[in-house]
Formats: sequence, structure tokens, C-alpha cells
Amino acid sequence: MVLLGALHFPDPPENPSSVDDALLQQVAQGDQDAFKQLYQLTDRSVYSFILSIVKNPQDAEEVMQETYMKVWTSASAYQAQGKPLAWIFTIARNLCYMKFRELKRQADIGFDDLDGAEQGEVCPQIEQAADKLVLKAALELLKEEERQIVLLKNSSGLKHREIAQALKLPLATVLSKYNRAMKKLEQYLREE
Amino acid sequence: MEQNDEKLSMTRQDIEQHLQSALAAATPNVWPKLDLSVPQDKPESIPGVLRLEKRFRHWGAVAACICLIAAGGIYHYEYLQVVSVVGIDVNPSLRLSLNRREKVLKAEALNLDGETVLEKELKGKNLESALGQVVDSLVEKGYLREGLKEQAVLVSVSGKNEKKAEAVKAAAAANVEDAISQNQVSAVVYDQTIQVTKELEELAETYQVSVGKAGFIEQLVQENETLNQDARASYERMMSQSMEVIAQEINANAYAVNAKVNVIQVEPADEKSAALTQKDESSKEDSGKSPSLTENVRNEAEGTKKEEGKNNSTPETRQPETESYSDKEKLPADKEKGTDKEDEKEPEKEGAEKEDTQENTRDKDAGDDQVNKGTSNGQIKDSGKTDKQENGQMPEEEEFPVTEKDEQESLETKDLSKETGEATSSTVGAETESQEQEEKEDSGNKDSLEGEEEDFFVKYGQSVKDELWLGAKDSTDSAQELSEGDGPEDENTIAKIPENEPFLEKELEDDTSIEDRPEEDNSLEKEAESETFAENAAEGEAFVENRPEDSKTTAKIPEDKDVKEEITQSEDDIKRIPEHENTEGEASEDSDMVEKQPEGSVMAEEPPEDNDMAEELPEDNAVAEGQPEDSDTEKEKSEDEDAARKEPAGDDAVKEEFGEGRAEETLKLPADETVTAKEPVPGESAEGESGHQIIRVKVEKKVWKEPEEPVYASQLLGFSQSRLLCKGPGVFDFIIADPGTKDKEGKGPEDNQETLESDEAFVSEEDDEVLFPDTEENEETEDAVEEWEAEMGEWLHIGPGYHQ
Repeated sequence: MVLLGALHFPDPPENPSSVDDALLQQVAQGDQDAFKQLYQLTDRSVYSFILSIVKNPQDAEEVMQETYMKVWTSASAYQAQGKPLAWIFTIARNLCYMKFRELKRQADIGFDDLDGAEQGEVCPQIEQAADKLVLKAALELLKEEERQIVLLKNSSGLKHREIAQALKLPLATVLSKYNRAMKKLEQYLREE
Repeated sequence: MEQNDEKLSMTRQDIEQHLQSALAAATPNVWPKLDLSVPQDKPESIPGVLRLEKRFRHWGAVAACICLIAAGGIYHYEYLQVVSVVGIDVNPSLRLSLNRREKVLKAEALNLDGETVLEKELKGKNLESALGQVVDSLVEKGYLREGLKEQAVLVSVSGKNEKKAEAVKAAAAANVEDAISQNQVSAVVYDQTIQVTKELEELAETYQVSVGKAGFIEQLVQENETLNQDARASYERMMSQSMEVIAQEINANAYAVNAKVNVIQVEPADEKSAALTQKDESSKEDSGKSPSLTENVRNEAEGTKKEEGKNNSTPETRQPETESYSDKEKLPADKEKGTDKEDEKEPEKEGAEKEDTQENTRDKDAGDDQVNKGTSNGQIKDSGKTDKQENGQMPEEEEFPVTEKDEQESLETKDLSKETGEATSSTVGAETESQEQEEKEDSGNKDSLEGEEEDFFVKYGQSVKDELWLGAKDSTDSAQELSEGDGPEDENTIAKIPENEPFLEKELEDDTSIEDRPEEDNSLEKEAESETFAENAAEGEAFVENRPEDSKTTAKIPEDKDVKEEITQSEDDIKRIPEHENTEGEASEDSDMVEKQPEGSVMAEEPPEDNDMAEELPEDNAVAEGQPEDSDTEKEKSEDEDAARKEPAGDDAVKEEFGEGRAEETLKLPADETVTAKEPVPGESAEGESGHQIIRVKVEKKVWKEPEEPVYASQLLGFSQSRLLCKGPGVFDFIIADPGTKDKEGKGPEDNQETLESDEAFVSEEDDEVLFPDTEENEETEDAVEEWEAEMGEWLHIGPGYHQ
């Protein structure tokens, strides 16, 4: 259990909500340490958000890389509004959409095909089958907003209020959708 | 099975844990893949800067526009806005528009003369240089001449800002005065500031004169009752006159000039000093002859001053010449005041005064005549001078007799003319007389001019000489021109005129007095004399001299008178004149003559018109009376008298003209009626039956706005300037009568004799023959008269045309 606990929380996840405008301003001034701190605080949340959209761990990784590069180069363009995470998610969403356009151009392959192709490969780095099963179920069963809320909630320990702020959704919506999504997963996994 | 168990066992919390572990394991470490070497964008700061710059650019453009507009406004305010307008009137009228820096923005000519003056570009020049250039041009073009002291320049300044206008006026007046003095010209400068009103503009527009002149005349008329009695007539008369003539009239009638108008007498400093020195030298050099002359001159000057002081209430600054004019004019005014009867009662005194005035006029006109008759002229000149200076100094009686003789002569000549034809003949006779007079004058001038001129010059000074000289030149020029255009008659007249000039020169050379004077002075004097003669003739002042000449010729006149009497009786006008002459023939009848003259339209007009003229006429009559006696003894003199008569006739015409122009003042008789009654023929002579003829020459002339033109015409005709000065546009008639014939009969037979004697000495029989060959014989005279008439007519016609 201790090991599991250590595995689960190898890096006691710092709450991404600790990211504030001051840190982004330091990044904007070229402070790489600040940028690394920003990365460590937000990488799981960002990846979860991207993965909830793209549903493909490979593409999610590319988009994640592009997103942080964009944050690094455009940090100075951030207008301090107290929502740095929302700003980063906006960048990530835009890059995801751009990724979809690229995929549509490059191949006639449909999303469904990709999904099927990816299924076996999903999260190869995930060693436990239960984790893979649950993650796959979440990505396949849940709708986009539900995925975002569930993944964000379980990725970095964000509170519902913080998720609502980052996704620019009402708190009640986040709560209701999270509960509904969790019921779906519970029902699916019981059937399985 | 395990999975199912797991699945079944999975609770919400298990699901969350699996998801958390799965996401944690799935999250890739992208950090090493991030290339932080990529430069960060700094878009925010840059666009902000750009926005600020753009804003500044807009504001800069706006500021630049405002600056440009402000600068343009200031430039316009300082340099392009017309702040004050300077008007200059001599006869040429100019208008200079000045900006705030007193630089000329626009120079306009308001009449044709002005255009000739404005040949050079004045735009952009400052006030001083512009006015200097204008004055230089005025002198260059002859509108201002050396030696003439009665010239006048009106400088009027108008502007919205009164202070500014006053300042500009002061500067302009000072500049004009400096320029005039530097050009060695003397003139009266009237400077005024005027407020341009619509009424004034309308007045100026109706009479086609500058606003400044219109304002000046308007004020003049409003402030003088004599002018204001018939304001319209005054306007019509004065608006067309040059400033020179107006100034003369102001001085003569002692008109009150508006207090706002500064009257400044400008005289050439150099000339003054030079003239004084020359005079001194000449007086020293001249042994016994010249000193007396110089003394006379001084006396005259003193007398003029005294007279001015007495008579003139006119403005402070008056030139000596103007003074003489004023005296003459004043005399007429006095005459006007005094009734004709008074004149009759006191013929000697009044006559003397009149004669003096007449003599003065004659002297000027007659400068030529004087030349003809040395002794008589000298006497006349003396008398004229003395009259001007002091009535008491010179024996008025002597002057009168001379004038009387002249009158008689003129009457005689007129009689001759009458012989030729009745009415027309009378006119013709007048013309012939005038011609004869001119001839006689010329001839006589040769002989007598020298002495007379010298005396005259001495008396009047160089200025008068200069004037005479100028006048003579003008007359000669005009005469030549006329002669070219006209037939043989014209040639005669022309010949006469040129003769006068040579006479003058000869006289100057010959005259011991002249010799005594420094050479320069002599030449100047000669010129001045000729000029003065012409001017006098033009002005009507010169008649005095002419009369003396006439007096010389009086012997011939009596004969002519008889013939004339016969002829003239037929015509009413002629009859009137002859009646006068007849009365004149009677010594006591002089007064009658005067009375009769008023009765006769022409005669009546004459006395009232110009007192001087009227006086002159009676004097001439007296001379005529005296002349008949003398005439027998002296035929030569009679020839001179004829010439004198011609001149007096010119005087009469002048009087008539004046009467028309100044109908209010002097003329009681309807001048127009007389004129209209007479034939429109250019030259007609209605002469008295007796020796005292009034030669009336009616000339159809177009209006001359320029003073010089009338002068020319007058000189040609033997008239004075004043007579010929144009009244208004269109054809106008003027009558030339021989004042001498009309003048007093009884005054001075003795004086006449004296004058005759002097005349005799100067006049030669040859001259008489040459000048008046026809007069001796009636038939011949008739033919001559006809020729004269034709000539005169041509002349008259030509004159206006030429002037045009």
C-alpha cells in the first residue's frame, strides 16, 4: 500500500491552482525556472485536458508539447485576470482543434478508426490493467465535457470550483456532470 | 473472473483511484522536449507603443494644421490685410493700399493721368519709397513743375483704425513734403484723414473723382457759405478741377479749410536759398537799373504779404504766388461785395484795385505783351506789382490808363472785326483782334518784352518767371500743334506764339537789367517770364500786362472802334457791348459802361464773375477812351492795344466762364443764356459798337479734366487758364471779350498817354503793319476778320481735340 501510495503520488501533486499571474509574468520575462515550476504544477491537468479532447495519448503528447511551447513564447501576451489555468487550457483546446484539422487533411481515416487502432495501444505506459480499463471506459463512454471534468478532477486533485473556473462552466454543471459521469462509469464497470 | 470481481467490486472511489493512477502514469514528461531557446514574443508592449505613436501622429497633424492656419492668419493680418488707404490727388489721382507694416499692397490709378504716373511698380514697397517715387513721377510727367508755387497736392488717408490712419497720414504727408522739396518743386500739401462713408463714395463715384478729393471738396463746400449756397453747382465745378485750381480758389476766396486738414506749404529749400543768393548777387551786380527792380520785387512781396494778411483769413500756409492769386480773387470778391455802382463811384480806387488784379493777370499773361512794350509794359508791370503789393505804392491811375488804352485798342480791333461782319463779324473781329493782339504782342514783345520782362521778373521773382516761361512753352506747343492741324490762320496764331518766346529771350538778353542780373538768373527769369505770361494768360491774371500793350496800340483802336460800333449795333449782344464801348468813349460813361455791362448778359456776367476781370474791363474802357485821343497820335500803340484787346477778350471769356462756373458768386447775368444766344461757332466776337468791344468767343470744347490742357488752349486763344478751365463734360461755350475795351473810359487818358508813349517807344510801325495789315483798311480788316474767325474756329476746335 505504501508502495502503491508512493506510485500514485510520487510527486505529491502540487495543486495547479497555486499557479498565479505572478508566475506567468516571471515566465513572460524569460525565467526558465518559473516556467519549469509552471510545467510541474500543470502537466497532468494539461495532459488530462488534452487527452479528454483528443482521446489519443500520442496526439495528446504532441499537443501537450506544442501547448507548453506556446505558453513559453506567448507568456507576455497573457493579460492577468487571475485565471492562468484557463488561459493555458484555451491554448491547448485551440491546438487540439488544429490537430484535428491536420489529421483530417493527412488521412481519410476516421476518428472511429483511430479510436479502434488506438485501443490496444492506449497508454502503454499504464502497467495496471484496471487503470487502463477505467481510463478507456472513461474516454469511450463519457461525452467531451464529462471527460474533461472527470479527468481534470482525478488528474491533479483540482476541486470542482477550480475545474468550473478553468473550463468556464458553472460549478453546478461541473458537479452534476461529474456525478452523472461517475454513475455511467460505475454502471459500465459493473456490467463489465 | 477476477476482472468481474474487480468490476463488481469497483466503487466510485476505486474508479477515481484507477483514473488517477492511470492519468499519472499516462502523463508524459514533455519537459525535455521543450525548446526554451525559442525567443519569447513580447507582443503586448510593442502594440502599445505603436498605438501611442499613432495617437501622437494624429495630434501632430492636427497641431501642424493649427499652426499653419495660425501662421496664415497672422501673415494675413500683418501683411495682406489692407489697413489704410492713401489717396494722392494732384490732377492725377492715385490710391495706395497699405498693410499693417505700411507697405504697398496695391497701387491703383483713378484716372488716366494717374496711370501715366503709375508706370513703375509700387507693390511691395514701403510708404516712403512709394510716395517718393510717385512724387518723382509727378514731377517727371510735368504734373508738378518747378517754379509754380500754386501747385497743390492732396494727401488723404482712410482707415478703420483712426489712430493708425493718423499715423499713416503724418508719415505720408512728411514723405510727400520731403519728396516735393527734394524735387525742387513748391506746392501746397493738404493732408487729411477721411472716414469713408457710403455717401462719400457715392459722391466720388458720381463725379468720377477719388474719395479723398470728394471728401475734401465736400467739407470745403459745407464750411463755406459762398460755396454752400449752391452746393451742387460748387460740386460740379470743383470736382472737375485740379487740386491746383482748387487751391488757388481757396486762397483767392479765403475759403475756410476744415480744421482736420493740415495745409503745409512746401518749397524747395535749395531753390529758395539759391534764389535768394542769386537775387542778392544780381541786385549787387546790377548797377542802378536792377536795384530798383529788386526793390520793387521786395516791395511787391511785402505788399502781397500785407494784402494777404489783410484780405486773407485763409489757412496759415500760403505761398506768395497763391497770395497774389488770393489777392486778385479777393479783389473780385470785394468787387462783388461792392455794387457796380460803387465801382463806378469810385472808379479810380476800385479800378485801380481791379486794374491791379487785372494787371497782375495781364502781367502773367502779358509777360509776352510786356516784352512787346518795354516802357508801357514796365509801367504796367510796376503797376501790377504795386497793386499786388500795395495799392497805394504804385499809381493806380497810371495802371488804369494803361488798361484803358488796352481796352480802347481792343475795342478798335473789335470795331475792325465788326466792319467785316455784324454778328459773325463781331465774333470774327474778336478772333482777329485776339490774333492781332497776339501778333502785336509778339512784335511788341520783341521790342518791349525785354524791359518789361526784366521789371516783371524783378517784381515777381523767379517763380513768376518760371511760371511764365512754362506757360509760354505750353502755349507754343499747343499753338504749333494747332497750326499743324489748322490752316493758314492757325499758322498766324502759331507764329505769334513762337514769336513771343523769342521775344522773351531777346528781351532777356538785351535787357540791361537782365544783364545786370546773374546770367543764370537772366535765363531763369526769361523762362520764368515766358512761363508766367502763359500762366497769367491761363489764369487770367496776366491781363494787366496785356492791357498795357493794348494801351500802346490804342491809337489803332479808335478807328476800329468806329467801324465796330457800326457793325455791332445791329446785334443785341453786340449792341450791348458797343453801348458799353460808347459809354466808355465818354469819360463819365465808364460807370455807365459798368452798369450796362451788367445789363448785357455778357457784360453783366463779366463784372460779377471776376472782380478782377470786371475791373479790368472798365479799366480797359477808360483806356479806350483815353486811347482815341492818343490813338490818333499813336497808331502803333493802337496795334498793341488791339493785341491787348484780344487778350482782354480772352479775359472776358474767362469771366464768362467763371461766371458760369461761379455763377453764384460773381455772375448775375445768365451766362448760359448769353452763351446760348450766341452762335455755337467756335469763335465769335460780339463787340461793342464803340471802341470798347467785348469779344466773345464761343468755343465748343469737351470738358477737360486736366488743368494743363485748358492752359494750352487758353494760351493759344490768349485766354487765361481760369477761363478755359472746364466746367463739365460736353460742349461748353465761352466768350472772349476784351476787358480793356469794356473798362473805364474816363479814368485815365493821361495815364493812357503815358502808357502810349511807352508803348510807342516799344512798338514799331513795322510790327503793326505785319501784325495788323488789314486793320488799317476796313475792307482788308473785314477779310482779315473772316480769316481770323475761321482760324479761331479751327483753333478752338483743334484745341479740345488736341487736348483730348
